[in-house]
Amino acid sequence: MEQQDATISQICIDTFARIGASISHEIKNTLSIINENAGLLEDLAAMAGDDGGVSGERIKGATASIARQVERSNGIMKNLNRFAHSGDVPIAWVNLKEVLDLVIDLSSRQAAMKRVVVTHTCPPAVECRTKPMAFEVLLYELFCRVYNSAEEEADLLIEGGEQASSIVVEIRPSDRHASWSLPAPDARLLPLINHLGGTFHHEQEVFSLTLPRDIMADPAS
Amino acid sequence: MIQATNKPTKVLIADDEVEFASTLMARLQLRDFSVEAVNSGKATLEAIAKDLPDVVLLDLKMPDLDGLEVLARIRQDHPELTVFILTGHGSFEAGKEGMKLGANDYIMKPVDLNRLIKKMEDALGS
Repeated sequence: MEQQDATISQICIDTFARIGASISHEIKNTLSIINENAGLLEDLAAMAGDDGGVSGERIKGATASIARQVERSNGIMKNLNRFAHSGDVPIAWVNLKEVLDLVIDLSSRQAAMKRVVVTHTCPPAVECRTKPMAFEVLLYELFCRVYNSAEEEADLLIEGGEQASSIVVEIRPSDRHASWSLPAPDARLLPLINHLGGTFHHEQEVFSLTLPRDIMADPAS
Repeated sequence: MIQATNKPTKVLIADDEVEFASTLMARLQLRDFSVEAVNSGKATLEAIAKDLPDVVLLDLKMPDLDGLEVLARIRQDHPELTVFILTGHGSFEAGKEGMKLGANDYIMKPVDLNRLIKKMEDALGS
C-alpha cells in the first residue's frame, strides 16, 4: 500500500512538473507578445513624434493584442491555480464538466502541437466523489497520450457522462469512420486508474474510462 | 545597422505564436529588414528552400516538426546559415542540444529587440 502511494505521489509530482513547464512556456509566449507590442507602440510613438504619420489602426491593433494576451495569461494562470488547489483535499466531490474543461485547457498546447481539434461535451450536473488531484493527473496523462498518438489535424470528441453508479469519460475520433488506434493505458496510467477504483475499456476507436461515482462507497478503492 | 548596405537583411521568423511572429516582423520591417514569418516546422524548411534568408529566428516548439529537427535539417543543406533559437522553452537540455546542432545562439523570450539586432549584426559581420 505504501509502495502504491509512493508511486501515485511520484506520478502526480512528475505531471505537476510537466504542466508547470508547459504553463511557464505559454506565459513566456504571452509576455513576449506583450513585449513586442509594447515595443511596436514605442516605435509608432517615435514615428508620430517625427511627423511620420501613424495609423490609428496600427495602434489599436497593438493595444488589442496586448489586451488579448493579458486575458490569455489570466486564463492560463487561473487554470494552474485551480489545478494546484485540487491537492488541497485528498477526497472531494467534483463536477465532471468542470474537471474536463480544466484538463482540456491544461493540455491544449499538447493538442495544438499536433493540430488536434478537441470537442468535448458533458452534462453540467454530473458529479463524483474522488481524489481530485489524481483524477486530473490521470485525465491529463491520458489526453496527452491520445493527442500524441493521433494523426495531425485529427478531430477528437471527449464525452463525459454517467452510468448507474459510475461516471464515464469516452474519447473517440469525431468521425466515427476514422481509422485510428488509441493507445492502451501504460505503466503510468494503470496505477492511477487502480488508485481511483476505475477501469478502462478500449474497443476499436473508443477509449472509455469508468470511475465510481463515489470512491468512498466503492469497496475496491 | 545591418541594413546599411543596399540589400536589406532577410530574416525568417519561424514561430507558431502567430501574434508574436507578426509583431516582431512589423518591428523589424520598420527598421528596413526584409522579413517573412512562418508558423510551423515544415513551412520553415519550405521558406528556406524557396528563398534563402540571411538569418532564421527559430522557435523550438512548433507543430509538425519541432525546432531542433528543423535546425538539424537546415544544417545538412546550409551549414553557414545564421540561425538563432528564439524560444520561451526554458529547458537547459534543449538549449544545449540546439547549440550542439549548430545554432548561432540560444535566446530566451521575451527578447530586447536592440539586443537581438546586435546579435544579428555580430553574426553577419556587419
